[in-house]
Amino acid sequence: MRFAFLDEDAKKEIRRATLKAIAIPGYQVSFASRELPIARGWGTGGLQVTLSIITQKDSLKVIDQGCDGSVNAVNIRNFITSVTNVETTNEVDKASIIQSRHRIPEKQMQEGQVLVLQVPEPEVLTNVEANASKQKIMHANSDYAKLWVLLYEDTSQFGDSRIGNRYPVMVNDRYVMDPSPIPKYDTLNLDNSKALVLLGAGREKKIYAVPPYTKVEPLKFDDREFKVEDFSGQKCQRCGASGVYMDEVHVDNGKTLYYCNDTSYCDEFLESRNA
Amino acid sequence: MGYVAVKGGEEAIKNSLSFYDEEFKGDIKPKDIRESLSFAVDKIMSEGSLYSKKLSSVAIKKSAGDLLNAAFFLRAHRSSCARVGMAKTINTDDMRIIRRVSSAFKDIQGGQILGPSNDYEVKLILKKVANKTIWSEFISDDIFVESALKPLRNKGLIKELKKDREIADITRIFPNSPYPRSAVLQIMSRGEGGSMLAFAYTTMRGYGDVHPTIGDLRIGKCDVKFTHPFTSKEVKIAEIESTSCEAVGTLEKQEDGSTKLTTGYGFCFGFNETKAISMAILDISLYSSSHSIGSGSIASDFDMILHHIDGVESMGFTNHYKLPHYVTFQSNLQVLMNAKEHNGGEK
Amino acid sequence: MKREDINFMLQKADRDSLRDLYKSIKNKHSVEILQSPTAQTLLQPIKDPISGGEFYAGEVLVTTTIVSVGDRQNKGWAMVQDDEEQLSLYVSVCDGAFGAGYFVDEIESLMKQTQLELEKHQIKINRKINSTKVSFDLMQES
Ligand SMILES: [Zn+2]
Repeated sequence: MRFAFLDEDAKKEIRRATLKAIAIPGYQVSFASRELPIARGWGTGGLQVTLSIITQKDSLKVIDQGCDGSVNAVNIRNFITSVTNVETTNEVDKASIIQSRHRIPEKQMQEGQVLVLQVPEPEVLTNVEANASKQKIMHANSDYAKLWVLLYEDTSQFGDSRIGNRYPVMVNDRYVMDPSPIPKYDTLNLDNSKALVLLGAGREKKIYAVPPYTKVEPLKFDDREFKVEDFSGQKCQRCGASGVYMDEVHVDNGKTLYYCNDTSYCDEFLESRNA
Repeated sequence: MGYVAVKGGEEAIKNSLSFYDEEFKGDIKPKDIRESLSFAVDKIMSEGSLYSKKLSSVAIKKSAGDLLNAAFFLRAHRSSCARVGMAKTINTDDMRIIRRVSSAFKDIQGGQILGPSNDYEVKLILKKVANKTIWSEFISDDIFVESALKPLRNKGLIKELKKDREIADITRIFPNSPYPRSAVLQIMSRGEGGSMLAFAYTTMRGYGDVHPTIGDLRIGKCDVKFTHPFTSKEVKIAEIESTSCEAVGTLEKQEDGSTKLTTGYGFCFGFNETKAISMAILDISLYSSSHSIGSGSIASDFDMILHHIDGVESMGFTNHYKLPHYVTFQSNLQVLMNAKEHNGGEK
Repeated sequence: MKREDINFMLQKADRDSLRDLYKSIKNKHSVEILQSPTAQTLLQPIKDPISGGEFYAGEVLVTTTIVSVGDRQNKGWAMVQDDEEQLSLYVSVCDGAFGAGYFVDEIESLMKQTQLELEKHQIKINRKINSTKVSFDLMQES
């Protein structure tokens, strides 16, 4: 099997699209998305980005739902290591590339690291404008009026946007971008990120990026607070951490318990407490 | 602890695959699939966008008859083979005919040839058929014949569309709107038959006004030709079975004031008439929408058709909802709770 | 028979006879494999009758082999349909031998034999196809 599965021409083309994406923060660059032995919608965009940038010296971490052991993360990690033999890790600090679905690691990533996010629906405008050519024009004109109307309607009815995850963000004061289905809690961590963030959508054949130290702001009215998921007053049942994104676990006796969603954070917190 | 269960994923995946392999083992040979389930094999080649009866049969076996999955196997394999070049163009007028019908004319040059078909079989599942024909009574002429619409086309009665200067290849660049015609036809040619049928069907039931007539429907064999690298002369590589359909729509006023008939074209690998007909109807619907009655035709919307008929993509994405989604669901629940609070703390 | 007929015709030849022929060539002349049988694809364009342009219907899987027979200059090539490594190798060696003027009679004889078989088969199929022709003129003439 060829190193990193894809043929060299494919990798070169994906890298070129990636470079363009980095040069225009938040702008969706089309690329010739290849068919992989992993199903469409299961992370093929992120996977192609990772396969095109990975080298023998890299150290890889793969997470899904905040967890290194989640079925899809295991599947993707096994596939990548089977075609590259690179070292893998669960620790954020030791990874040079982190591929993730639905979460940004709790532990802050550093300069030189790359976060690859898997994106199911890259087009932030789809819900307000289904026509692809009109979407393109709206982006070109930075015309996001329809998103603002949606936000206004939601706010007047429900007090806030109905969008829970994949909350639209303005990147570098120019393009509104779908940050992938991360919770609002994570959205704020995209702002001024030290690490390079690459977003890949395989089925929709788009790559886009947030370069290090780029301004990323959730779309909101000036007089409204951007409310993120709230777990205040809750502590992780396993490690005792608080102030992180949590999983609710409903146990048999009707009680609800909370655990860190980010399992490697939980492990590290537990270790540091026991040390 | 919750984590133990979640981290058991790796082991469970392995065991689940072993279970699958044992449960759906059977002992049917790909060769038997190829010979007795040949329409399934053809469907997979066309949707997998790779002409290989051999691998298509293997894919059907591997996916235990789940044809969407089988096409997925074939597509993934395609990504691992280098593309060596481009064959000579096939013109379906040159097809060696096995079956060819036209519902537009009673009799046509070359005749109505039913070929191997069970169209007129009464579908009684338990009835035993014992029909024997003495073949030697019939002539053995080869049949090559032009499309039944050729005479109308020669007379200039059929609307022409502008041809692309370059052939688009959607596997390398997926175009944006306005879509080049070659991209539109390529997407449909490898589209999923069922999805295309459903969209085509909408045009006949009020969501559009296509009332098609089958001008020329044919199945048969076409030659694949390439250039011999050492003699630089044309060389035949293969014969591929394929289906093509030209359907006629309705009258349409042209920009130059003339009135012409609209037509649509369908082509796919293998014998798959329903798909070729559906493609031809969608082609009419997409390119001849300006005079439609009513505006609610979904099958005349390029974005609607081109983004929703690929089986490998739609199946993959629909199935991805099986993956864990608890992070996003958690976040949605919190939004619900906040909205309830906003509405005066409703219970 | 032309050299260009070898590639398709010998794919259809009786496999045992083809293998024997390959072995005979190999025993007499040195055969070097320059590109071992490799699965590749050919992009297949189709003519669009409505615009007069073309479009790609998909790719055709082929197995390609390049060899040299006898002298390194005498190159042989085969591009056979589907995933067929052995077949591709046999055909490429015959192509190379034919080009170099080796075993020409034997190769032609196998091709002719194959052609006869193919024609016989085609006649059988044609009778079946012609039996399904809907006949309208019968009524007028009676
Ligand atoms: Zn914890």
